[in-house]
Amino acid sequence: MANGSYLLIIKDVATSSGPEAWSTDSGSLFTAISLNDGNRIRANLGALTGTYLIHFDLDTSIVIFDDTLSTGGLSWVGTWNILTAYSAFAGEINVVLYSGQYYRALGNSTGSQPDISPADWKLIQHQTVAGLQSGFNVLTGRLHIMNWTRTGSGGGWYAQFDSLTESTEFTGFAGADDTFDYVTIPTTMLNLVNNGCGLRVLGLPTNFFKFDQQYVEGTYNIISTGWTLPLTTVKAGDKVTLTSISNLAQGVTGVQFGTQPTKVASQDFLEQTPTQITFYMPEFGNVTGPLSVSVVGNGVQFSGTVLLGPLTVLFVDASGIYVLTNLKPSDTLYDRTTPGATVEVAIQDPTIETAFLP
Amino acid sequence: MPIRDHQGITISEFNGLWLRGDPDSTPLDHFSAGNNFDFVGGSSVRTRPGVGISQSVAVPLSNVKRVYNYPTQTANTLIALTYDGTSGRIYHVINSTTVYGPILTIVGMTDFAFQPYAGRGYISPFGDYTNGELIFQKGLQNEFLYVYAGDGTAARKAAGAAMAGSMTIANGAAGHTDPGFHIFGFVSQTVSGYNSPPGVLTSFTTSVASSVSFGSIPTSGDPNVVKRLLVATKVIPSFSGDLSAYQFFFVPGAVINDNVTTALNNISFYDADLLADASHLLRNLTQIPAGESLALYHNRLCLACTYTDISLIYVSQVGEPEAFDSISGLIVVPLDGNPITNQQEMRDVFYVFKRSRTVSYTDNGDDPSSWPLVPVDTSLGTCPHGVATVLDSGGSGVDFLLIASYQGINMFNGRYVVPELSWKVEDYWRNLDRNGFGRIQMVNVPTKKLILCVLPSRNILVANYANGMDMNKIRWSKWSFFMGLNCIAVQNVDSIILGADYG
Repeated sequence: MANGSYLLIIKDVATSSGPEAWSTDSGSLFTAISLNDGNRIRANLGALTGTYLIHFDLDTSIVIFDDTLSTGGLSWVGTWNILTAYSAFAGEINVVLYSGQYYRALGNSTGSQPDISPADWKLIQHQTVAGLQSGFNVLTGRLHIMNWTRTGSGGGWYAQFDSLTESTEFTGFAGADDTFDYVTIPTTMLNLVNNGCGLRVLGLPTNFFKFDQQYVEGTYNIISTGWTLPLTTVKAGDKVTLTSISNLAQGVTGVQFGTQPTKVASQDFLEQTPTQITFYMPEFGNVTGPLSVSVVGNGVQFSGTVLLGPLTVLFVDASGIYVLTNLKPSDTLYDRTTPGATVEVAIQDPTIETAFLP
Repeated sequence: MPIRDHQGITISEFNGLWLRGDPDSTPLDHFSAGNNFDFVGGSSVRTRPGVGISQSVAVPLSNVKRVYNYPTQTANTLIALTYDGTSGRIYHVINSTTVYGPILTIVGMTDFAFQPYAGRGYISPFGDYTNGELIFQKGLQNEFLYVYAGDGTAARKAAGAAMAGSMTIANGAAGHTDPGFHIFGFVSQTVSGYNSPPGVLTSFTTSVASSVSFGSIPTSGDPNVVKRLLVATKVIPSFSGDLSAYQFFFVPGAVINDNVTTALNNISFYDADLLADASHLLRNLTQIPAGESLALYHNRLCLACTYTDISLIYVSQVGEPEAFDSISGLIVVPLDGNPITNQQEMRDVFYVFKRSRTVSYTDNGDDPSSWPLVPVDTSLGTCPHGVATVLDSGGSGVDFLLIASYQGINMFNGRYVVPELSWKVEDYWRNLDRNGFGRIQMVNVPTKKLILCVLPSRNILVANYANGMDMNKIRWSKWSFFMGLNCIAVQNVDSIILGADYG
């Protein structure tokens, strides 16, 4: 298990207004949650009027912008069901998922299909981004509200952590970096399920709040279950692929086996994608059976050494003294299963990759 | 753009890997990645040559940690170290079907330094040690320099102690000596030519007209002793009481050509005949601590980086690779907390390397301890096997060395040539695990215009200099193998030998 820090930026543009700007931000609206900076989630909040609530969900990578909401506290109740009674009590406004969209209850209803019942349900704008990958647990979080200003008078805004916890109202005219700590964060605290966290703005039609940026930063740990190891038995020289269900693989700088130092460095990977690394299995000693595999992080995607789990290995002794033979088309190895025997193997993947051709 | 408007790009040359900077900036005639390719002529590539087995026996050597070429008086052979997880064993591989040994077995020996000399082989076991996060190599604790005769017999500790015991001395038949008080003793000589310190020191007052006879002469307990030589002082007018405090000389013709005979009779000599000084033998080390590096300089065997002194070099007497003077045969390289890693002669200068420092010494004709020190480079050095051996000889090519430094693979002609030869693959080299540099071993094969460097990753970084040996013309490729490649040697001019272990 390893720890790291994350950064999630919700807003980075201050010139447009209203939630409609989400779809007009020339493609840079949301990118990804950053682990130690880098890519960021961005939401274009702009100058706001009325009351808004933004939720962002680190685990499911969903950002929700909800306008006209006057009280905080969304209550996730799952996929809409025709038989369920829904309500919109302050602090427990039901949110459902229907046909890929999120809807907020405007009142009490049963059997009102959200997409065709605007009196009972309001579509919540949302966008899915590359968020904090599976396999992460959020440990701490701090919400930053950066460079905000207000014109006019009246209204205010709150930093909201969940339906029951929010900051005092900010009614001033400007601020540079107001921060709000999550004192204790259960691993799911930042989920929409637990009402997420965000910014609640109470404005009047003549007043405008302008937030240059808001972001959440904090720490996480990584659980190793986010990786898939080969199930087949592996011997030295075999091609091995480790798969990450998130984008951790691109941050791997080396692979270790057992308690040994790094055995395969990233520069010797045959392939490295955001979710996979492939390499030739190095020598691992004269052991057969389970062998623990760890990956070393680059400090960006993750840091430290993460134990992935066991790999079943088979010891085949091909050691010995060899001679390089000109024009020989294959490798002849010692095969110690039978005294004096040898085995012929193809030369490992002869490849070249040319330069980028314009 | 319509295809018919597309301008074709002709790539007429393949100049190997380019592993520096952004892959998108790779020149068109280079590769941004590649594995197991070789160069054909000046501009083509093909799959690398395959490997074949070197031993055609039922039980070939396994888990090979190190292989050196071992030119004996009559053949080019190999000397190889295997390791079973506890003990290292050294074998002498004569050919594909004949193996001697183990000629030496030592617990914890995971590597060794080797220096052929006059058909014999000098072996110094060493291993890995840690200092903080740094892994480095030095001679094994409580271990020694060994000498192997090259004939399949077990290697033995080099040097040896003085003979012990006592003898009788009496006037012999009519003869001559300078009459007076003398001290006599015997020096044992091993099969490898090592002369022990004088032992069995016994005083006797000779007579003017008599020779001297010796009886009850001890035999040496060392089975490798083949001769015993009589030594004597000149007449001592006033004896101090300390038998070993005087200058000894070999007595001409007074030799027992075996280790059995216990008498040597009727020896006549004058003090004026005592020319060959044997006093220095009294200061010789009777056993030489194991070091991490062995080299030859001016026909002296140089051993460096012992367990207790990582910056100390033991330098033998000229032509006597087991005779190390414990006082004048020592060189202390400036202490900087880093061990000596390598030693190499080039152009009559003795270069000494640490991992990030290079200094030189020059034989001034006096004792090694007086040789002047010249700092060569205060930032670049090399690793234990980081000086490329050239064919089946030492490390010096035609007036240059090829050296694996933290910077890259450098040509060294008295200074490190910059940019380094491996400039094209700079990023790849810089990312190598520095704690694995003890694994790096490099050979230069001029007949094939190849440099092969075994990397910590167990791949081989191959440089082809058929188009020229400079940073622009040299072409790089990378070879990988199913087996855990661990070491490399060149035998019989240009036969490339690979050693593999299993981790």
